[in-house]
Amino acid sequence: MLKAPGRPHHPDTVRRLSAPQPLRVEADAYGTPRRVHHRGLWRVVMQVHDRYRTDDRWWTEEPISREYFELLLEDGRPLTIYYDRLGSRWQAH
Amino acid sequence: MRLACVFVPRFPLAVERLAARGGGAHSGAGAAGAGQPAIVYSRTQVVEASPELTEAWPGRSLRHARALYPDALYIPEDAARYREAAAVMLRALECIAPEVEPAGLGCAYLDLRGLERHYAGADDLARTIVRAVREETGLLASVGIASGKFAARIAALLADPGAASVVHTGRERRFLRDVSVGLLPFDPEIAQRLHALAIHTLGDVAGLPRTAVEAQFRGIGGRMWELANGIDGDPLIARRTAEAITERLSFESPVVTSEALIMAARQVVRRLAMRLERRAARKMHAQVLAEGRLVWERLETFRDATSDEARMMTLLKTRLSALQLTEAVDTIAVTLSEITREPARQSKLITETNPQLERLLESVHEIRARFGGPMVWRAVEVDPCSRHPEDRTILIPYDA
Repeated sequence: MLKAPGRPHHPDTVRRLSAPQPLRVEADAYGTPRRVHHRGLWRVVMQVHDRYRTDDRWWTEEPISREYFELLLEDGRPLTIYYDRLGSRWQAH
Repeated sequence: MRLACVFVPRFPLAVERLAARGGGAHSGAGAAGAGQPAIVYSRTQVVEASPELTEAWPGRSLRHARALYPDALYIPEDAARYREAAAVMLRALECIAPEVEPAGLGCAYLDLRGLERHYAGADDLARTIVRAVREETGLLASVGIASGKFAARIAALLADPGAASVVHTGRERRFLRDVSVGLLPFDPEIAQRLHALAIHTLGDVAGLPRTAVEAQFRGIGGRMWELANGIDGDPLIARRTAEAITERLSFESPVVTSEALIMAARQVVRRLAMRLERRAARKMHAQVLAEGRLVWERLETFRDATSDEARMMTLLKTRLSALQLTEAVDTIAVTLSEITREPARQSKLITETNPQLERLLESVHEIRARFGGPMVWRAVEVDPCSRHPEDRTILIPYDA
């Protein structure tokens, strides 16, 4: 599936599980998340488990270029987020 | 009988021009610029060409056309789009007259009996038809009204796009007098023979004794003479509007994988099977759309009428698996038609039922009825190994 446009949700449509949602992130000079605004609160990132980049569908009109981070937050929750390099925004799954 | 012929000149080109402008019900990719002469082509032949390209007639080889008009705009034929535009046009016409006969792409006949008294006159009715076609398709049609199909068609052909021509009853012969014999609905060789005999207009044909025309042209001679004299008993055969049931499902976000389409198709077919209610369908028409525009379609005819969900799905799955999407799509629609009584079949002596599942389904239906939409969803894996988590699983309404 491609982008998550801001179209109103029709009640009888096929939906995505884990659709990306916008997220506020504070990152350091290297682009690594330090704090994320998750469930109404700013939470400190305790650990970055993994970091990888995906470039996909560059042959279509809607290419994807993302930098993924698998995080462990201060409250013990894991969280997968990515930086959309084309849209210059942070998103969370 | 009064009838109208509705005609969109150079239909494939008109649809492409409209798409290029991004207008009508078929806005989409297109390259037909407004002023540049254009040729719509299939693999090896010209399908349609701008009027100024006089040597590029439909059916002429594409190689010749390219040699003659290297600077023309060449547009590949999009038959599915033309059929869709023609279907929209027919539906618009059926809102005006209940009896409509399709006569090729961009042409149709309407039975006007009983309609004229609802309008200020034939001209008013013709304007209504032009407006309806324009509003629904964005295309500019011309309308001919006469007492027979042939005279109505000629009137529509001679009218300017967007205009109407009315042939009053009893004036057909006079109207057709100066029309070229090339417009007779026969092979071009017949027109060539007529010209060789110095018979150039329908007036020339009408002035001959019927027996002389019949002697020269055998079987079609009598018909030719009648048409030239404004005698046309060709009946209007309205298209059957057989019952058809359609279900469609849209994706919240466009998809490019056939796996997601197959999952959605499964749900659509399940709903259709429920709506059949002890009946069976002979034909299944599947369509995949992007922003309302047709991207792919397939018409399947079953060997015998079926209501078997698994059988429909097996066929659909095969077709969708082979589908290679070149763009993101957002809707799948399936229509069952030629619906008949279910053929007799040996049923099982002992049927298996699952009371728990039945109770669950009942509850789901109750919740759906109460909240006006699906509230329970089924998670289905479509691409579990995708690098993008949102592509791995989709949620389908759990309603069947």
